Amino acid sequence: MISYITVPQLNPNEDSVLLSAIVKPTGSPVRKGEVIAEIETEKANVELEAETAGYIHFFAREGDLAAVGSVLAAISESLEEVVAPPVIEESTAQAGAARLTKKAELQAKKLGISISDLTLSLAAQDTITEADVLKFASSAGTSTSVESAHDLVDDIYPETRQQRLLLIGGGLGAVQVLDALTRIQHQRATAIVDDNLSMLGKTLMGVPVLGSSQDIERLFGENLFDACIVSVSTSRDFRERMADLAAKMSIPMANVIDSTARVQANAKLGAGNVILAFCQIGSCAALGDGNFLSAYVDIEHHCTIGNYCAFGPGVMMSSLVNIGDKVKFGTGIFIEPKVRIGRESVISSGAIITNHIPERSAVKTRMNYMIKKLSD
Amino acid sequence: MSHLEISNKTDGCDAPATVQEDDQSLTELYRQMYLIRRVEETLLDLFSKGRVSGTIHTCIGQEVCAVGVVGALDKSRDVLWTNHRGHGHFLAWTGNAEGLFAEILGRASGVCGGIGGSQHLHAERFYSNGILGGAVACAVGSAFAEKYKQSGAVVTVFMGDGAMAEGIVYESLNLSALWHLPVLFVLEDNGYAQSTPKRFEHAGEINTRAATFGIETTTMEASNASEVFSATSQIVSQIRHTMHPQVLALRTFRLAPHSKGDDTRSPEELASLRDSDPLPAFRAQLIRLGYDLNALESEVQETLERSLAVAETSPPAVPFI
Amino acid sequence: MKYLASLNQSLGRLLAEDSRVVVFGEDILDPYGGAFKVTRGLQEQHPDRVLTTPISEAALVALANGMALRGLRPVVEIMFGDFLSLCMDQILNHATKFRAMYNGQVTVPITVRTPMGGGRGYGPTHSQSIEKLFLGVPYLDVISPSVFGDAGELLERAVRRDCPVLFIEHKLLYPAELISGNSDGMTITSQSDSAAFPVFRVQNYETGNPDVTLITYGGMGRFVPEILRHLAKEELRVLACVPTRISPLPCDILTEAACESGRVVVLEEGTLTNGWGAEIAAQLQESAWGELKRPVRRIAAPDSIVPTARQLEDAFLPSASLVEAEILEMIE
Repeated sequence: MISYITVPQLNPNEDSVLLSAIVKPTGSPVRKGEVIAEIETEKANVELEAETAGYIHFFAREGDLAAVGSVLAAISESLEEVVAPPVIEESTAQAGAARLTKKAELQAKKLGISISDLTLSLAAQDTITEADVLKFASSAGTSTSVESAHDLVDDIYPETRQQRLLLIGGGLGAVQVLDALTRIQHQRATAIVDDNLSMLGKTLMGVPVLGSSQDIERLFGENLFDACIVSVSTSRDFRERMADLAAKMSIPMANVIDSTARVQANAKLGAGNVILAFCQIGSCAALGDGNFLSAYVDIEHHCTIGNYCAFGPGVMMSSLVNIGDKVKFGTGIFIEPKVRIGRESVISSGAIITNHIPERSAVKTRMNYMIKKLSD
Repeated sequence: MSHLEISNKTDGCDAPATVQEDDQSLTELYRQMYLIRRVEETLLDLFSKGRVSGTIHTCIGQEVCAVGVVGALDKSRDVLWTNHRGHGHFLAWTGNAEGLFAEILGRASGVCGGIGGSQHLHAERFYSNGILGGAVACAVGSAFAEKYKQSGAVVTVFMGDGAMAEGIVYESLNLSALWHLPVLFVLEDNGYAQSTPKRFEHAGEINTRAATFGIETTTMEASNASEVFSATSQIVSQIRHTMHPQVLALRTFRLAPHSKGDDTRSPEELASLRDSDPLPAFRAQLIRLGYDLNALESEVQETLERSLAVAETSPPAVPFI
Repeated sequence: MKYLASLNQSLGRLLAEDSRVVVFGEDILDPYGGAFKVTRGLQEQHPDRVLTTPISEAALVALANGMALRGLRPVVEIMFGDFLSLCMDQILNHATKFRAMYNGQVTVPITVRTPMGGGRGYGPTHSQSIEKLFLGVPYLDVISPSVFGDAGELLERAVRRDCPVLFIEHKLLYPAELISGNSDGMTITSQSDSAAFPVFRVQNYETGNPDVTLITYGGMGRFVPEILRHLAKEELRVLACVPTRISPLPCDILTEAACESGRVVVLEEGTLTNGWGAEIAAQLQESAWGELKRPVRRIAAPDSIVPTARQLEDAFLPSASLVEAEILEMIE
């Protein structure tokens, strides 16, 4: 049985005392109440007494400073007992598993990387840092990191360089937009974001996928692009949502217009429109924001198109047609002059529209087919 | 230490200043009292006509205290602290009726730029505040400073009987005696704390309390300015030499309300008080002695009217930054 | 140099260099030298100017006011900050009003110094941090040294100030070592507020923007090194901004520090409602609205009394681990 003697707090303003004299040296027998040492504070000298009988063992030397509350000595019942100062348990990390820093944890969550994957692959380390996580993520892809998305020409030729674009969406629509960009001199794509996290770190036609729609603000903050374009053709709602997001972050939206497309005199265009090969926007026609026009779409003179519409190839309209927001067109559609098509309507392929279409209408065409198998 | 009625005390100090009946300073005392009375009446009149906002606490009936005590102080070095009812003390100290009017009328030329107003007046070595009892303790601090600087100054502080219920007054009495500071505490006992008579405010006697701190108290009626002047002169001289505080308790009365409209005394009581008004009594005494006061009174009235006119036409107060 | 020694030596210097300085308070007669020993040795050296007083807190501040108006520079000790309530009238209606009410014709250069804070088990009326009741009183400076910088030098500047100063010391800091240079992974710099009082910036990173800005003062500042060290292990970049003059606030400096991270935590030992943090949050929402990523988070003691039992007191008062946990949560 060992009892410990700790340093008392004698004076509220002092955190340590001086062990000024050891009266009973280590190994001496002591009786209860016997003076074993003298400790000194700024105010006074105080005698330290043994609280039990036994053999005294000091853990400090005469002249040492001892912190208030620390263990100064121990009294054991017998001389043979091995006396050592009690070990204060420091909080130690779990044996074996590597620990992630908070930043590493957050980054892993953001990139959709499982922590067990990380700790398994980096088992040799005690601590996994944010940099470790980013390296892990990018090594899953083939090449480019954030740094290589910066081009020297951006710094050297800030006024004359091409407008750098972020493509929101890395699917089929992006391929079309990237194709158009190969023939556009004043714009180039520098980055793509896609909510499919497995694309992170890969490239599409040489352009790196740097994150998801959550990363748009950050990438803009890192000055990786000047404007963005939504390259998803399928969802009109998605195009609108991304446009709202960009507006909230004060990120400009660009138009991408194929070099073969014709925008005639006094035509008016909004922002964020994709206009692919051989389209025409006629004289004095007006196109709103965020529309996606596949090849060979003819918007004749004095037509007015709203926002976030989607056009398949070969949609032709005569003059003075008015189309509301978020109307979806299939392929090969003709629209007579002065027709009005209400917002959010869906027009199937092959339709020839001669009447006004109210809002939220579905226009289906009926064809008679006979499908026969060819004889040998 | 005992509390004394007014008597001759000449042991160990300068020959006291006394006022002879044919002395020039008698008319000067009257002039100051008359000025105070007229200024206070004018202010009450301005209020009733709606030409001033806020409130004032007039000392009508108590002019003897202001003039008798302040007249005996050394204006070149002594310090004066007072309370919310300080117009009389202010005028006795400075004679600056124009500055006082301008202050109360909210003009930039007021003694505190219209910022402090009636209860917070300041002039050279003159301080006041509207928190009852606060000035008493500050005065003790000022006395310490004067003693420390060896200026020979005495610090006088006026307090009313109402203030004798504030704890800080007793802290002040204790400290002033313990540290031997040159303070003259002047207790203007007018029998009322705002609307409440003394018997609802205080247990026992208020003018004997300082004795428990080893502070001598002199008690007298404040009916005769020259008597108050003589008594104060003696006391101040003693304080300067002994470096020990004293109390001068003056029995006086207020003829006007506490501020405005808070006078709950009966008409009979007020009538009887008016009969004992010291100002007309002093006037009568001086006339009996052969003084012609008309010229003096006209001059005071003229000064007053001129001061008021100047104050009323001067530019308004500007904000303090 | 320890906090207490720094204050004691500065008082000595003030007394030696300026004959207008007078120091007084309860129980400061040597050899006892004051309840917390800040004035020890001074009464022996300057017996006519270092005075022990009766237990009259209200009158003590009034004495200071009366002295200051007549040309002296009094430094009055109120034994426990909890007793400032007894001095409130003389601070509010006298000290801080004379200059303004008298239209600038006088000054009241008093310094009221007092120790605040808990952690010693002294109980509800001897462990509070009630400086918050004096914040925002017009014409009053509230100054509180922490472990950063030179506490004594701050006291000298306070005494030399021409306006009334409330100087808030912390009991637990008296035996603490002052931190001056960079140490222990911290980079320490200082900026000056509008009255040239230092505002310390303590960072656990070298360059770039912090993840979170921690604003605190006085006694709570002793947790800054520990918090910064622990959070550095989580790769969290923390900027601790530690003003010395806590009222009026150094708004521009705090705004800049807040905008650097967009995430602000304010730490104080006093109770939460209507505290120091509430005013900082109000000012930052005006000055930094667009840059804040989330509302300002205030960490303070709950709106109750400081309990005496040791473990209850430890749980009641804010601790380093509480602050770390709040910051980690805020970074999500």
